[in-house]
Amino acid sequence: MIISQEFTLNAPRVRVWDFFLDVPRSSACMAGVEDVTQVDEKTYRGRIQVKIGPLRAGFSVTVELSEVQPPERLVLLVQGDDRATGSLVRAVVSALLQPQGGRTLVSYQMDLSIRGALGRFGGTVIQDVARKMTAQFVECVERSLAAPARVDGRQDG
Amino acid sequence: MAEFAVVEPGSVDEVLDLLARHGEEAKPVAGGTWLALVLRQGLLWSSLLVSLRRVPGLAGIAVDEAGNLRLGAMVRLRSVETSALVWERLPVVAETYREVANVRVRYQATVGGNLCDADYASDPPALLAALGARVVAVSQRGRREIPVRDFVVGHYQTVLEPDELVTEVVVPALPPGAGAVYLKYRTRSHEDRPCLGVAAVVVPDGSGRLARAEVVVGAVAERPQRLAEVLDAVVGRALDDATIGEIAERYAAEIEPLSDLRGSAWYRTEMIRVFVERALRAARARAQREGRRT
Ligand SMILES: Cc1cc2nc3c(=O)[nH]c(=O)nc-3n(C[C@H](O)[C@H](O)[C@H](O)COP(=O)(O)OP(=O)(O)OC[C@H]3O[C@@H](n4cnc5c(N)ncnc54)[C@H](O)[C@@H]3O)c2cc1C
Repeated sequence: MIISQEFTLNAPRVRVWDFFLDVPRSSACMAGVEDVTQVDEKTYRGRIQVKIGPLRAGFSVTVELSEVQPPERLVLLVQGDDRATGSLVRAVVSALLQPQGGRTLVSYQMDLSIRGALGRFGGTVIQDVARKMTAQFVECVERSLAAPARVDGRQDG
Repeated sequence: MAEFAVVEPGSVDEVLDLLARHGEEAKPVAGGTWLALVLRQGLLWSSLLVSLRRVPGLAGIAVDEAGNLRLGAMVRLRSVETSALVWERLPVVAETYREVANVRVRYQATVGGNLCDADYASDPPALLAALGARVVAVSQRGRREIPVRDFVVGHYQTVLEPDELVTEVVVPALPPGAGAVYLKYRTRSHEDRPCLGVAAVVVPDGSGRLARAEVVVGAVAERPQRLAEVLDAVVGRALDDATIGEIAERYAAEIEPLSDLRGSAWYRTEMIRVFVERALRAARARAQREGRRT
């Protein structure tokens, strides 16, 4: 499944870029993410818990920053597995950041595939949930970027 | 597969005690058809399965003094479909349960399980919501009635608390002269879950105008879709093709459907328009027959 979307953030491009590349901070915007650690320059590890009603799956996830072209283009390769249910997820996420005055237009595309029990049982549902998690992520990024800016503003005034 | 234990309490009180003590760790088992599936896949983390098999008082079909049809949580779908009482009082309910899956599943699955699994691709919830039915939930904290239209809140997620047990579903009688229908649209096998299902109820006011219309579309989003504004706006309007077309148009325009193997979002939007219109016409035809009879 491919999810693609565009959204505008009320911050200049370099700030958005720095935020995305600050993986511990940006990953905190993804619901259910925990234990994020850096493995090497381009690789992070963590866990993500997905809860849908009474159903749960916990994935060990590796994220590789496979293409980094500051401050414009970023491609992530996300791979995860859940031993308990024998499920695998794989996602390729590419994001393009374009300046728009003082704001930033982010266009991203996510190619998501889920295999194993979770995919067989609730593939559709998982995709719908992934879409919602993405929307929440965007909202959280917006809030995180807005917060310090407002503080700066108050200090200036 | 995760470890779990099965208990078979002999009364509602014992069930409520187990649910209160074990919280999310415990899950009631009704027909077990949905639970068997998720347990096999290791997707359910509950460790205590509380079977409702030996609990008395949950499998009745009755009509109360107010004329409500009361379906016990443990009533098998097949029993609804074959109940003379249901055919006499609310045939559309029997017709709808008959549309679920295949007869093997209907012998096993229950009225309560069908509502509580909260699978988006289900049939009865849309009809029950359109009829204004209520779910009765009990716990050691008390008893409450929840409108079916508010019962499912997300994928596999209802408003039930972990300590609550559904005991029955209460379906009010249709007002005199009303017509109700459920249309199931399948895109794959005849036994499949719906690509979409539309429940429509029209209540004419005696002069050919709408006292009320109810339209609920199931299986197109995480919960049954009912557009209150659209339904409120047509009260008092003539029950003609223009009004029906307008309702269908707005349902198609305002619902954001999901995509699955049974149909893409785009296709579902087109089918919502077609089937809301068909369902309203069929409900109107039934109301007209009722009107002639009374
Ligand atoms: C092959 C197949 C095809 C199907 N096709 C259709 C279809 O076309 N249309 C359709 O509408 N449905 C369809 N279904 C779903 C079916 O109708 C039932 O909804 C489903 O199988 C669950 O019913 P159950 O009684 O077995 O519930 P269970 O598996 O026993 O329980 C389901 C969930 O509800 C909870 N629960 C059950 N009873 C209660 C209660 N009294 N109080 C609180 N919680 C409770 C359980 O804890 C569990 O979480 C299909 C199912 C199968 C297996």
